[in-house]
Amino acid sequence: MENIYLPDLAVIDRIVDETHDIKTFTLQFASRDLRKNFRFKSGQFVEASIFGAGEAPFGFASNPNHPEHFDITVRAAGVVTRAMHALKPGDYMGIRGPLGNHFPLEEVKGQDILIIAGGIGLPPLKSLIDPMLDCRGDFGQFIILYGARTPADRVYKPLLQEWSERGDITLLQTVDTPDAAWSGPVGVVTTLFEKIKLAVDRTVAFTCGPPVMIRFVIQELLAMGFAEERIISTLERYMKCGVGKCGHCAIGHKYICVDGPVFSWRQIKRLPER
Amino acid sequence: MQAGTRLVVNKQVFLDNLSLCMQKMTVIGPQKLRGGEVTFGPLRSLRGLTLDYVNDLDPLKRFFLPQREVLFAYDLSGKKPRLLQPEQERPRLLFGIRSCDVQGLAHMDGFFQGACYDELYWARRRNTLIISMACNRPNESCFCICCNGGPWLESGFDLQLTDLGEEFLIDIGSRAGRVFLEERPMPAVTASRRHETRRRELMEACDAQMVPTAYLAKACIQITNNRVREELWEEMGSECFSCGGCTHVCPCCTCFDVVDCPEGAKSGTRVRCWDSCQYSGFTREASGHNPRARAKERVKRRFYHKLSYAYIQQDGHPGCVGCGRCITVCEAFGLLDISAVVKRLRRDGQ
Amino acid sequence: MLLEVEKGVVLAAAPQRDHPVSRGTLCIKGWNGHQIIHHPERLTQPLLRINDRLKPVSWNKALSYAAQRITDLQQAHGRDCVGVVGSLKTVNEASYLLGKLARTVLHTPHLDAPLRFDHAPSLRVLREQSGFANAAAALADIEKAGAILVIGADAKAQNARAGSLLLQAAKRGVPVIQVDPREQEHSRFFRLHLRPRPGTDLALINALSHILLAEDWQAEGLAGLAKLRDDGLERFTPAYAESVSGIAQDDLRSAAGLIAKASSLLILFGTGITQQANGTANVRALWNLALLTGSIGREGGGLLPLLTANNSQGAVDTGLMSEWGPGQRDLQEAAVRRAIEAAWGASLPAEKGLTLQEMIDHAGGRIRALYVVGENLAWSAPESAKTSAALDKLDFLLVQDLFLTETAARADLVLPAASFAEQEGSYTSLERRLQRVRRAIAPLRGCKPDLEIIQLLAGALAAPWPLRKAEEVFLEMQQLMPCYGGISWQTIGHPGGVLWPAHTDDEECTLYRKLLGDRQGAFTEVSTGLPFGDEPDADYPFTLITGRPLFHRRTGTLVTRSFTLDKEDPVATIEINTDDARALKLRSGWPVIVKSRRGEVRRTVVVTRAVPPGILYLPIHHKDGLSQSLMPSMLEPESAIPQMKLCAAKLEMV
Repeated sequence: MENIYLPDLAVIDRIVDETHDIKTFTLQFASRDLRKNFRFKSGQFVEASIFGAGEAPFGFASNPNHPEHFDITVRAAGVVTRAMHALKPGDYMGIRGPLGNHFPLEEVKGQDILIIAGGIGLPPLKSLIDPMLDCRGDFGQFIILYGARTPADRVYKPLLQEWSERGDITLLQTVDTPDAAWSGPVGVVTTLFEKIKLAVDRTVAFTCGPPVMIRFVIQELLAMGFAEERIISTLERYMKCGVGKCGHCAIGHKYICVDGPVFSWRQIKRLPER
Repeated sequence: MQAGTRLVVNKQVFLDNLSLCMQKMTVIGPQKLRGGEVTFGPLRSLRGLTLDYVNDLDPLKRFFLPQREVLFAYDLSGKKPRLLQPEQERPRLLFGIRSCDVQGLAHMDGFFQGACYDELYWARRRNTLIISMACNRPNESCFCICCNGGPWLESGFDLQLTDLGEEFLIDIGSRAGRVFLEERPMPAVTASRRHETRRRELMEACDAQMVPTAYLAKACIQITNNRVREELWEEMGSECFSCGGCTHVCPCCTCFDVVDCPEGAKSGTRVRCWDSCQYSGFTREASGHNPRARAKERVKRRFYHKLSYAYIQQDGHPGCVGCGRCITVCEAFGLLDISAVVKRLRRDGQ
Repeated sequence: MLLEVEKGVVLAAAPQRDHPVSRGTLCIKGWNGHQIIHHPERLTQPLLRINDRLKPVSWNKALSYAAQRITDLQQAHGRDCVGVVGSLKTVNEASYLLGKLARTVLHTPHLDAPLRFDHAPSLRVLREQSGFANAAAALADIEKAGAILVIGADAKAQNARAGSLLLQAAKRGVPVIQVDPREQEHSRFFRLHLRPRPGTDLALINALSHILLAEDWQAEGLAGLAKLRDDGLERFTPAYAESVSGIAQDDLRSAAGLIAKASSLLILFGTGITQQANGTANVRALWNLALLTGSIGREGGGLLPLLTANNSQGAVDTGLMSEWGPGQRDLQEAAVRRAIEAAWGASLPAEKGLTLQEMIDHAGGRIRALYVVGENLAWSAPESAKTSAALDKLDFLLVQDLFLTETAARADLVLPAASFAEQEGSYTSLERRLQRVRRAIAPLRGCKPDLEIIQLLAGALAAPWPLRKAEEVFLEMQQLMPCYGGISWQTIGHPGGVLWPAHTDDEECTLYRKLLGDRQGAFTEVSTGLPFGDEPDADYPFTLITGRPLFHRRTGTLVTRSFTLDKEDPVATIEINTDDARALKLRSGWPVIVKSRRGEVRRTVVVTRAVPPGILYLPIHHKDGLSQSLMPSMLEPESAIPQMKLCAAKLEMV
């Protein structure tokens, strides 16, 4: 039976400790066919199962151009994620996906790109940044703003280093509370806006992070003159089935898991609830 | 015989044939429980069957979307996890289902297709012959005539029966219905004018007896255009007991929760069970943030889903078949069922 | 409630349309409570503590061990070193046999039901005045009442049926007077909401009676009025009540006026007024008020205590309260004891037994062993730290339950019991409605219905009882319980059962009149009220009130094991008034430590105007620290109820 609730098996290839409570899992499907044929797009997500604990949604955090493996970056916050953190390389997980819609990538070629990420909002944006950097020449100015609570709470620290050393993108980072070694800016991510110059008419802004952060970021972007279709974000809701059936993630008549999670501000504005 | 033809069969002969079906398939029909209440369940013989009922308070959607359903079983005892699909069930016949519930199934059909086709639902649906029974009399909470939910339907059934006393008048609604009749030794005559007249009389009598009303159109407009006073939603939110009864009994409600049920450390099942947008846990996120923390927001959400144009356009019809179950089941009696809310919205808008 | 069963598994619950009380409805617990039945944590084997760990053992081993241990302890310390705590949730037949086991086989007077903690004062006063420790009204009276006084209870949260009928009455225009320092969800629909200072209800209630008498608004033909006035009602002037409770005199007069004009007065009340220093006095004052309006025994009038749990009343009727045997008869009366001894063929202890809190307080001393059935005492009793220490002092703790509760986890022996869906018997609801419960499935493998366990235990204690089914036990207990007379096992099997007293199978009585006959009832004495024992001071400036929110009951043993219900109320909160929060610079969502003189818990702040300044409202919750660890266990002297509703408290930043 073609059962949309039945996961495929995937094996954990590698686990990286990003912070004290966040890990990145690199996964590979157990089935050779799936390894060969699986494709996903930036911004999509999977429902990952730990049998006995449950299932939860996680955005892809790796490059869609290399789909034989894929990453999810997970904070240990609940029953499923804590069970996941107890796993080792070689252990199995259930995976259903790819689910949801995706970031516009082709459509924004030729534009300047502004990425604003907060905390654990960086992983889904990484699935967009990676392929964009594969064809860096197709985009104009490329700016990444990343805010975290403390320097230790940042994810992808080696990659952040790499990005800051590239000459062709601008990476600015800020933290709410610095440590002794931190020499960078301190404050919420919106404080970084004054450090950059934007041509709002040819820039597309992508933002992910805690709901409060997104609200303030979008406020700032609108104040700067961004058009509503040029602000792309992700909406988050409690999600269960991931396929538009269980009803939990519905806002208005849209299901975040099917019609989203990627929405432009213009679409979000039109929803009856937020 | 073609679809659209009306036939007449002797009632006892039909029921005897139904009884024979019980040997080869699961026949679900209305039965009286101790105490007199009628509920639908598998029949072992005709003795259990009753025709003296209006409807089951427990909605018939449960035969297609069970209140608790295994999605798959898992076995972790080997090197690799093994996942096992649920078993296919015996073919079924659902006898005596009312028009409102048939209309509810049509609604659920639309929902369970879409982008992600829910095979678990469709396996049961394809597996079940629907022999509905139009209502000769409503109960005190029915209002299907306001919602295109009955008492007689043009389609959605395999066979639709009208109880004429000694005979059943039968509408054939599908090929499967036609085949069912053809395969059985039941003498059938085409419905005569006498039969048609009797049927019309029954329809008019039933319509006339309906008490609650729910003229949905105006309420739909008010909700779609967000022209309902927040104070009214506040009042309704305060009244609501958050029991979830309305969503449980509604033939058009389909929301469910998914949970793993371990049996020891090495095996278990993943199960889906009915959930309710009226419960605060429905939208609470892992962080604790809850976009619908207050009953007011949840009540508002329910009626948005039932009556807004956005959904009506998507589904083809409002999310109500007029079965009246929510009127019985609502703890805030007479205040928050859809018929009462529609009335309150209309009054408020004047 | 109907349960849907497939292949021995309970899948779902559905309401019963033809039930006269539920009328086709279920509350959120009704719809989802069945999820606990097949929960993986259900106990399926007896557990014996060996080398300080609970290990599975066979039933035979468990029962013989229990019998041996109890016998040994009784030989060393006397037969009354054993205490028994009954359940508010099990069937009447099991409760009846538990009482018989305690009093004849164990021969101990120390037996009590946990209703002691909620409604001991209500039971005492009702029995004193009417002869029966039962509601002096029925739920149907809510629909017929001329005016309704709701005091110390949140009907919507605690009893959906009562809450629903109350809301309907309010919407119909029936004047509902609510007395609660805190605003509830339905307060806005009620005619009057009086918000007295916590603990001052006595002055308020007596002032209402005072006004009725002063204005000559009382019912006709009442006897004993002069005595009532002279006995103390005289001093409860509106001015006095205002000074004590903070309720304006005009509001008191409005309330009295509404009551006077109404055809009848129905009083719904709960633990808000019983779990206090004035608990018994408060209920007496309510009785006086109802009597003054001529509402006792009249349709639409009377007193309806909102009891907790599905079979609290049954526990009382079948004889689990310390002072009463089956039929609520006074065991201190020699004639009563003789009659029961004759029926049971065994002698009863003559001494007065300890009540529940007293048993806890005497653990390790007079009480060496406790047999606890279906009650999570470690979490439901006040001053949790003291309770845990007390349980640990016992030589033998025997617990019978569905899950490994915190009490069971401390036990020496745990016996796995069957759930509500797995046993036969009868329940008695808060309005005296006797109904059968039928099992939907066989007991899960390994566990047994309470009725069977108690009979087997009796057998192990060398008093072999024939294993009888519920119906046979019902017939026996009926002999000793005149209030259940004339009721057949068949009739209580129909939806709605029978509201007793019924003298034939066909007669149903919703009026309390039959119990009282033509008695008007004498007026009770008016107390001035004892001072509240745990006053706020500079160090503990707030008065903290506990409350029972919709989604948690008692200790959450069952609620947390239903995955739907457990999602409903995950955060343990404390409600604080907006002005107080501003002064302390606290915001909603912030964590805070709540301290009383007895303990502390961690809670999340909810800033609201629903709570008056100076008051903290603590919904009973089990995460982040037990609510009951804050509350005092000192007893109200008359009814031995712990004064666990109020305490002095302070807040500290995390």
